[in-house]
Parts: sequence; structure tokens; C-alpha cells
Amino acid sequence: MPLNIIVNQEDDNIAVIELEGDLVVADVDKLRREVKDLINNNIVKIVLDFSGVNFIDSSGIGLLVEFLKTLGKQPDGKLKLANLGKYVKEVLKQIQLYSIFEIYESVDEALESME
Amino acid sequence: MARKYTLKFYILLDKKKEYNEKEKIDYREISNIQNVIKDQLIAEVVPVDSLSEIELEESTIEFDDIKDVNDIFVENFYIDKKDPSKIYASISGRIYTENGKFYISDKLEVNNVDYSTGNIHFVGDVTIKGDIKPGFEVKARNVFVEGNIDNAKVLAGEKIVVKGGVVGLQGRLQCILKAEKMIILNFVENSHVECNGSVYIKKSSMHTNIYSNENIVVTEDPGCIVGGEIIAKKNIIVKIAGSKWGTKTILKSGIDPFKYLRLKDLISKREKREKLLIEVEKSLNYLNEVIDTAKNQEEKSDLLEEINEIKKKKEKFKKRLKRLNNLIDKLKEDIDRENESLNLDESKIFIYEKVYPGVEIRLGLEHFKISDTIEGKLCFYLEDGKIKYR
Repeated sequence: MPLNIIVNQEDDNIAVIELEGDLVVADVDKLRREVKDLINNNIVKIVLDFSGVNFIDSSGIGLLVEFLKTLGKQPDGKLKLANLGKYVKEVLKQIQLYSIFEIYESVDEALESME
Repeated sequence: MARKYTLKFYILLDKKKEYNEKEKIDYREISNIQNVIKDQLIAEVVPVDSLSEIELEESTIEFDDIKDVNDIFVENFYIDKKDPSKIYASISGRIYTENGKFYISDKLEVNNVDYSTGNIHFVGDVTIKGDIKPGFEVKARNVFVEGNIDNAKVLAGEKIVVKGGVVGLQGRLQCILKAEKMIILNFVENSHVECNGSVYIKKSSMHTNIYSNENIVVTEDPGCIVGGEIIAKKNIIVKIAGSKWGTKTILKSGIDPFKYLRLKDLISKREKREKLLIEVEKSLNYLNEVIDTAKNQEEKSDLLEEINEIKKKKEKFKKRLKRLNNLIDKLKEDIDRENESLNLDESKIFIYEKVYPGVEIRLGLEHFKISDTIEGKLCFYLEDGKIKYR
């Protein structure tokens, strides 16, 4: 299922990106562009809401790792992942990268952790 | 004329950044590690004449035969059998070029992590021959440190192993270690340690908070835990707990440490928010009183504007407080449900030599404060709802 992206600005420099569909190679550029636009507008604290994501491939994971670096380079830049489904959690654990991301059970928790 | 091919990349190839004199540079973020994930699509062989002008300008690799790609992607790549124009990573690691050829390695070795390397974010294993310097961060699959970690942050998808010491600044707890599977340390001081697996500390833990979903073990010489909060879902095994000066040392077993931490953090945030809301209300009340004493219409207008801004802030804070309260209630319910089904037979605290006053033992929901020094091999356990030891 193609990726649908909805960006909600929560605060001055915080945005929640709702993802719906599959985060795969065909759509990574789309998400990359959205995040780049946010950074260009000084929105550097980003929560990715995975509640609508059922499938992620290596390119999708590669993109998350790329975002860690891109946002890490911004002053106060933060990346938080929320509402990860069982499949996505398992994939991250299998490639042994689960602990390097900040993962929350809900968007609210992720937003709380930004403050 | 032979048809020429080039490569279309599906990863962002970092070019070396050129900084201008006015630009601020964060020397902690200068690392140029290009991470790729196993089975990630790296590139595709495409005919040169299929590219746009801009793409053509950026393309630097051209070749005549599609099979030449095997000479370009040298190590840890594979080609899709169904579509031989696509090149994938066969391992997770860092992609780099040498003499125009591509390689992927899942190992990285550095001397120190400092201003020469910047922070390290790597999907493979990193070996640090020296130290991780203050204020720096390492995120990797496995992290091996032969020297010391000095007030730094280390996150590992699997393991952290440190041969030297881990030392943070007193009272700050900014020295943070987190790993999924296992943490092995020599000694640790003034730090914060979290692990989904077990934590093994050879010599001692001083004034450090340690949280594990499995076991926490400190059993070589001196084998002591002094100060801090130590929480293991299963067992805590230590030689000496506390100190003769009565240092407050909390040993807890039989609870989910991470839910407990989350709850603690949310409650602390709620207290701060409530105080902030009270201050905002005070400001609002004051301005409402003062507005009637405004000298003229202009001053009144300014005050009204300020009042409106503060009212908006108050609404924002109330909304955040409500969200926080909801989170706390949900988490408390979750913890209560878990406590009801907890099997505390697997959760014990073993102290092999001595325990001093100042140490608090907690198993599940029960507490036991040590009031006199007890020597000998001790096992604290829960029986009939009370903490006992033998």
C-alpha cells in the first residue's frame, strides 16, 4: 500500500508525521522530502507516528537511521518513533537497532518526552 | 558506439561538507558514516541517456558493460537475480568508497570518540581503542570500549562492553548507557544504566542507577553496590550492599523497571507543570487586578493583549497537564495489572558478604529497611507477602 503522509505541527518546532501504508523503497524519497522541508522551516523535533504502518523494508529502516543523523546534526534536533506495530518492532529488534531509537507507546508520550 | 551505463543511487551519498566562515559548526556532528541496512536497495544500473541533465551532472560513474558493476561493488553487495540491474546490501554497515569502488563493512574501529571523530551513529559494531570523551554520543549495534567512558552517552542495539571505567559527573547523571541485550562493565560511578538483558559489573557500582529486565550482578572484588537505585525484574546478586556510612542504596527486584521509570518521569513532569500553571494563574490574577488602574487606553490595550497571551498559555498548559494525567492513569493501570499476575519466585536479592544500614530492599510491593549490618550469605525473598532472608 503506497505511503500516505500527514504532517501536523504541534508547536513552534515540533511536528508529528502520521504515516499510513508501507514504508518501502518506492516511498522513502517522499518521506525524506517532507522531513527536509520541515528542517528547512526550523522544525527539528519530529515524532513519526507508525500507527498506520504495517510493513517496513530495509530502505525504510535505512531512512530512519538517516533521519537520526540528519536531525542529530540540527541544534535541538530530535527523532521519536511512536505507535510501532508488532511487525515493525520485531524488524528493528532483528537487525539489532531497536535500542538506538527513542520509541514510545503513543504520540502523547513521545511529545511529552520532547519537553 | 557502445551504450554507456551509469548508477542511480537510492541512498543519500554524503558529499564532504564545505563550511563557510560565518557558519556555526557543531564539531560533535562531523562524522561521515554512511549507514546502510541489510537488503537495502543501494543502486540501479541505468542507461546514461535515461537520466535528466541534473542527474547526469551528478553522475560520476560510467561503464560500458552492465557486468562491470561487479567490479564497482566489491564487498558485501548482491545483485537481484530477477533484476540484475539492482544492487543490494548483503549486510548492515557503513558504505564507503576506495579508488572508485564500493564496500560495506559492519565494523568500525576508532581511537577515541572526541572532536576528531564526532558523535558516532553506526548500524554495525564499533570498537573504541581509547575513551569516549565527555559530551559525546555513540549509537551502534555493539559497542566495545577498551578505555573509559567519561560522562558520555552510549546506546547499543545489542551489547556494551567496557574494559575501563564508566564515570559521570556527580549529581548530574548525564553519563548514560543503554543496551538491548547485555552490558558488561568494570566499574561505574555517577551514571545511569538501562538494559533489557542483564547487567554485569565486575568491581563496583557507586551512586549509579541501574535498571534491568533480567539480572544485575556485581560479584568480583570488591563486588559492591553503594548508593543509587538498582532495579532488576529478576535477581540482584552482589557481594556488599551499602557502606559503613549508611549511604542510601535501594535494591528492588520483581518489578518492571522501565514502566517504573516512565511513571516516575511522568509524575515528576506533572509536578513541574502544576507549579507552572499556578504561576500562570497568579500572573493572570495580578494583571486582571492591575488593568483597572491603567493610566490610559493605550496602557489598558497593552495589558489586555498581555492577558490574552497569558490566557492562551494557560490553556496550552492545561491541555498538556490533561494529556500527562491521562498517560499517568493508563500507566498506573498497566502496572497494577502486571503486579497482580507477577510471579515473584524468580525475583530474589542475593548478598554474599555484607549489607549495611541505609540499604532498602524491595521485592514486588514490599519494603524492608536494613537497620543493622548483617554479615554472611543472604538471600532476600518474598513469602506470605513479607520479605524474609536466610
